[in-house]
Amino acid sequence: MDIIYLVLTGFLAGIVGSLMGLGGGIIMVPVLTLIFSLPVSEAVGTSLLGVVAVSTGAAIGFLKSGRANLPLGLTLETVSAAGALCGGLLAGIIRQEAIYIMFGLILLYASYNMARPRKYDYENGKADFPRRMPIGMGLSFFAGNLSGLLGVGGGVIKVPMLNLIMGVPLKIATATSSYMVGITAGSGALVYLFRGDIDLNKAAAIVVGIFFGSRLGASISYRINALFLRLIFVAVMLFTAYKMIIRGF
Amino acid sequence: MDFREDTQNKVAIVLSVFEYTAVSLLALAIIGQLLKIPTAGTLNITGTALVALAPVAGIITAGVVLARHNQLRLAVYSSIILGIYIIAFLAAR
Repeated sequence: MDIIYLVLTGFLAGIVGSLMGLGGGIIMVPVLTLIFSLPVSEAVGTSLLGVVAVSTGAAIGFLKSGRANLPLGLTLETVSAAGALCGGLLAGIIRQEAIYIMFGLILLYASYNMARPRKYDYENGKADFPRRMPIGMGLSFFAGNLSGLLGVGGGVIKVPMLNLIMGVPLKIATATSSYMVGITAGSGALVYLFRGDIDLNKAAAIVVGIFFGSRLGASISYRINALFLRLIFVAVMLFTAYKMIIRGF
Repeated sequence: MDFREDTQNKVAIVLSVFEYTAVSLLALAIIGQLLKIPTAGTLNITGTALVALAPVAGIITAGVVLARHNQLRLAVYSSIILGIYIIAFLAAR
């Protein structure tokens, strides 16, 4: 019976994640730890596999349409994947309470990012000649580290970094970030998989649910009042951040 | 067709093959688990491995296609990412 609940959880995470422009990790880890009582390391590993599935699915369309910038993505991934590897290895050493607190802080940042007025640059900038490459590389490493440590995709850092710091137009930044997130999460997921931190039965249910949920979310995203949904989601994320931080202490 | 379009198309094809095969196997594995069919475990392992390895297949494809287009700098970046995956595999074991 647990399998059906996990498929449904993944399905809902996929829908909400794609409506909110998230990979699903930021939803999956709290749900798996707070509701399904999974150890945080198992929740992070399982979530990373889900993020790989969602990102790979989204990247297929973005690569075919030419919206994702593969050369830029590959360049930044040399450090981002290394960051995810470090994060994944670090997660095996540090205390679980610290991971709960860090995840709570990331949720607070994501809530702030979602609630504040957008200053994104939609059209200007050149995707082929991004600015401030060294800063982008540093932030990519940081985003990768968070991904491996906390089981999130890191898109919440990568999209603003590509658009606001490196001057990549928003549409290309979002598509390139989707492609990058799969590579980053894949590197972290391998560490968890071979360390035995992933329950394959649960992971299968989550991956299948999140895969179909994200496709449904993408197809209904044009018909839904995103602002209302966004406000509800921010409130839920703030509550979840509180619960995660409390669990860490 | 320029190098970027060619690489992106080929990577997209490889990712599609891995993604859809993996999700189909995992869906069959879930049905197998619910019906208590013994081979469900094998399908599960294969499907999960395909999900985790889809980005690797994409990177290898990108590296090969970029090298054929003489984009050696980007091909080296692909190799670096592949190296990181190999380190992740070795470190986790």
